[in-house]
Amino acid sequence: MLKEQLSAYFLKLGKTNLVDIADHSVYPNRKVESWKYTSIDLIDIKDNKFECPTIPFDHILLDQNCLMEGLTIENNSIDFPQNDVFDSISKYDFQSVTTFKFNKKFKQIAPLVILHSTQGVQTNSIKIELEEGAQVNIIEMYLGDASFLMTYSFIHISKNAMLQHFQFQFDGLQVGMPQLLAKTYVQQEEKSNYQHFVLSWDGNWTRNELNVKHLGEFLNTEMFGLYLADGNRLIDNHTNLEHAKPNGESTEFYKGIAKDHGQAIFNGRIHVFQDAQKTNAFQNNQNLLLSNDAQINAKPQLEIFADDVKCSHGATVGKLRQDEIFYLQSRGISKEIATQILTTAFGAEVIEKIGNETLRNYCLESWNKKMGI
Amino acid sequence: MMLQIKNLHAKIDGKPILKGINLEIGAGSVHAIMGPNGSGKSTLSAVIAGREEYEVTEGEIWFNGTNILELEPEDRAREGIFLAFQYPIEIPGVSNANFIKMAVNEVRKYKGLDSLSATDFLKLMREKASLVGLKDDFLKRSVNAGFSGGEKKRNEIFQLAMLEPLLSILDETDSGLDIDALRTVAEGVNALKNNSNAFLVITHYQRLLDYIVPDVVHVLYDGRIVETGDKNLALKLEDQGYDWIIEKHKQEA
Repeated sequence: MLKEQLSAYFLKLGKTNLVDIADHSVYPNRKVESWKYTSIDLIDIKDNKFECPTIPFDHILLDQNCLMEGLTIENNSIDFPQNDVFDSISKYDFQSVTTFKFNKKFKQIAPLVILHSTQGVQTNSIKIELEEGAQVNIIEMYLGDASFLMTYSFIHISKNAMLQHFQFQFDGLQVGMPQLLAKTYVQQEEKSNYQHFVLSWDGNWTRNELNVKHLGEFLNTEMFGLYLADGNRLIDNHTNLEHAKPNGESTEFYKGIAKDHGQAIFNGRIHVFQDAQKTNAFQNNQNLLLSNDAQINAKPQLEIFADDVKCSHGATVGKLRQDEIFYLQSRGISKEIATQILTTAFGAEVIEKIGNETLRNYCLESWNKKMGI
Repeated sequence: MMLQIKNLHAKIDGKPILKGINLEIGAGSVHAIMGPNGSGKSTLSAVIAGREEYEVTEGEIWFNGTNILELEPEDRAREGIFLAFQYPIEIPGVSNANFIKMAVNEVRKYKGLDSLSATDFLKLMREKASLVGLKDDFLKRSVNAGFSGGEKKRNEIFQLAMLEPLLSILDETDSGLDIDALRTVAEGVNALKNNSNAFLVITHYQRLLDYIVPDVVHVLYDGRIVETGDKNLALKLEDQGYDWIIEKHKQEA
């Protein structure tokens, strides 16, 4: 059980206050709606060591020692959410968080990489602030061989600023993936852009909570996700978009695949406030279910309180189309390989939305490799 | 005879579509199959290529001495049957180059041949792409993803050129093509014609047959071949439409 594992781990480290929190907090269970299909009993924490690898694409490592024009680094206190045991642990662990502040003088010469490197149990917390007019690409990557990692990313995007935010939750560096709880809190001001990609196909257990709140008008949010639940893997994506102001636009496009004994969960909440007239919100979630023992739970959750809006959503769970398999067979490719190619292509549609060519190619190569193509 | 179809009956979802097709195609020839909508043209091409949803209830299809009804679609392709689709599918994330490389190597493996070297392959791809008016960057793009109707049809003929099949079936390849694309596609096909291969051109309209001139024209109506003639039969259909066919043969139907 997770409780015993956390408690024992903190005890070993001599963090007695955390032992106390681990022992006496309430853990998520199936009776909590947002955890209904997401069992924490599958988490099995190992304390494996690994060598830090090199990142195989052009990048700049974003850490406390980073010196760049248009970037200032501070330590700030933060209001942690208080929803579950993980929040309690993280709040205790982080009296202050490292804040990366970008202004419009910042020039992106290569994507910035935040490396979450873990062993055993760890919480990482960062804050990213884009001042007016700033434009930034940031990638979060995760290292840790069967560790348990909780990440908190607090993001604030000011007027006319634009953030492309990637979470690469796959073992592209070949050192193993942590079991991961990634919570992201985004606030957007007027005329800002936020584009988010979460690509998730390695590690034993992954849960993403993405929360985006609109603070101003005429802004755009794009959320893309690709997830694969194979073997005994569990992957959960909970997104929550708060269209709180008028004239906002959002697109959400998530695709998922479950096979073997995998379990995938998608819950996409879009809340359009009464005040948020002229909102355009589009959500699409497509899933492939490839084995009888795999499970997919897809739940679009639109809560619309304004009357002059355009909102649409669609969620599908299905199999590959026969006519598509036949097309490949008619070119001399066996049914088995045709299925493999089409499953890969199903996911690649999300990756192809990545505008940056270097990152797109890196992700496509990693995905193809994962799928054996 | 390269292809011999004898008394072929096929149905889908319990509904009979083909009701006794007899057809023989020899090497070095071009046959056209025309017919009104719903006569079974696309079903015939799908059944030859081996699409599972169609159930063959009677009859035989022989291809170079092999009864291909026993074969999986991929093995029919490896034996040398190619179907150019009316609606080619899109495969995001898989480049045209990688896709055709996989296909060609599967066919070569089946024939006991080694894979082509990377350099030879690239040279061959460029040559065949230019044959159908596709630029080099096409090879890097994902298979048919975001392609126009014309580009998709050109890609079908590109794949045909790469796989060098013995029998090529073109299923409504002319639909959705403007006159320039139609001409390029037809010129590509004409360049690939030789004495050892054959083409079966399936079309509703005569227009494609101005460019790919058939040796034999068949008219399919209600699951049977009801007329067979030379290219003048196609011209007659262009001129008079299908009403006279329907009138003449509806008694039998």
